[in-house]
Amino acid sequence: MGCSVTTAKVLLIDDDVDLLDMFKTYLQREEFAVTVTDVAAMGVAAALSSDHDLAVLDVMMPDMSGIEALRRIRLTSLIPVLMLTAKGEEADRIVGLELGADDYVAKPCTPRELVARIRAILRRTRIVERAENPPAVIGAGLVKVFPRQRRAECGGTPLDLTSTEFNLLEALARYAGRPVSKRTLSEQALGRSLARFDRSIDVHVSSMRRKLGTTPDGRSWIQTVVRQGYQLLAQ
Amino acid sequence: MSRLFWKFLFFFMLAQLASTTCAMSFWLRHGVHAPRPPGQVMLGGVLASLTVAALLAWYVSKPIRALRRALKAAAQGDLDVRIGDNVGRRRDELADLGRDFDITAARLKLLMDGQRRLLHHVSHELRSPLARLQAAVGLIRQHPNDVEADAAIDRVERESIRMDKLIDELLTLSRLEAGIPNREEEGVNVAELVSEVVADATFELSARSALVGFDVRVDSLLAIKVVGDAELLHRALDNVVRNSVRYTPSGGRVHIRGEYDALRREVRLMIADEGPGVRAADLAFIFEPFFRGEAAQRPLGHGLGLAITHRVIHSHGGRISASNRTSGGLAVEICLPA
Repeated sequence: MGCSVTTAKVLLIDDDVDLLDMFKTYLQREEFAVTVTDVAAMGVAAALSSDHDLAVLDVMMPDMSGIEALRRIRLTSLIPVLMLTAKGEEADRIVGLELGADDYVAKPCTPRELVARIRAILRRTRIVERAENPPAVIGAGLVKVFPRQRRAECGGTPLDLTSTEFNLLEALARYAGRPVSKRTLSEQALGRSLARFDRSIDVHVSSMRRKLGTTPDGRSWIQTVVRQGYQLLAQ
Repeated sequence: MSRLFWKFLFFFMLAQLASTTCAMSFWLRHGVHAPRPPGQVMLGGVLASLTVAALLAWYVSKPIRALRRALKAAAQGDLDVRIGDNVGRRRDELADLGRDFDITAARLKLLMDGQRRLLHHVSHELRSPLARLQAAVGLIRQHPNDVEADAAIDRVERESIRMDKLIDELLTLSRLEAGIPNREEEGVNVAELVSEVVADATFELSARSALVGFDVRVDSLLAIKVVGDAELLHRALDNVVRNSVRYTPSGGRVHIRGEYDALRREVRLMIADEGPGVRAADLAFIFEPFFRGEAAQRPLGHGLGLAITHRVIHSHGGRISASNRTSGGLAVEICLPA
């Protein structure tokens, strides 16, 4: 844990007030700065204020307001979002990832799991502040990734990527022209090992495909390599 | 005699008639002393009865085949299958059987959907206290020896009690749905039941120093007894009263009226609160398990109380309904045969 990670500002949005209180206490003792709200609309406003490094959002809030909140955050903001989903509710999870959530934790979860997942996302999003010296640009033909500025473009058009999508594209671009396994992608982009039956990477890749469009000859930039993973075309 | 009987009788008669007609027409033409009918005539008779027999066989087996297909589909879990269209406008026992199957399938589907919904709600309702339990345990592990840890241990206790209560209510509900085989039947004095429930509620309110009063008028029921299970009826009434107390703002009162309808021979109880009421569209659903009103304040319970009440009242041959009062608040009316 670098020092920049531990002072991160985390926003918690959940309708269970008692749970919020406990998570808040736990996270504060882990030296996070924590803001909590149990009203989805206020959570959205707080997430859009760009005062926070990461939002933890319960997508099971009554009346689908969690999913709706995520949608509204993603309309204008790329703040990393970790969603809390119900165990076994695959549909919620996929909808959330498709709407641009960075990762998920199945609820009920221990606060330790939650903190580990928050740190994993923060480590990846704050890669610039780490001691490493990333290259200025990773080029794979028309697709260019600029790790220092955490931005990417395709044929000169800037891409609107969430931080997880950016990490994925960065990992793929580094090995452009070669397949990258889902396990490697999960470790490098989500900061965690791939769980069994975990479709997160596939969902992220499919939304990236939408954003990237197609190559001049009409193919998808990211190709599925059966049993090996995904490959970014190097043309 | 039934329709199928007449249909069979008619067809067999027709088959006989067809073959005899062939024989008769031969004899009429050649005289009774002709040595024996030639092959064509014999064949004609056999073919005629074969046709009629085949018609009958097809007529009977067609709906049975449809029924078999439907039963097979149902056995594989597809309860949306219906036979009604296959049967058409036919009217006999086989058509009735098809219609009975349709009704059974629809009813089973309704029940299974209900169970599925209940299971979904239950897993959700058990997850919330579990999530809080895990968070509390996390806090204790983080710093085992401070004030927060004590509070967290209290929390663990509270959440486990809450889960226990939820499971208890679930079991009660499922027992009520299955029907109670040897229920205690006794004469229950509703007026006494009401005063017991109110006394319990008053005691609990004073322990929390909450300011909710009661306005009880059940004197006309003093001499009336309802036949039923005293414990279940107590529970049913208790759930309604607790619900009313929960939604009545501080300083408000819960109103309980009781009267006896001599004409319909039933006891009528009205329990009304001064709370926010329920949206008109939701009134029909408040007796469903885990229903929660939207406009209502955050509920403290978990939404099984009124469902249990509903089942208890129905298993006693009574009725229960809810309406919004014109002066605001929810009114629940219970009718029990006396």
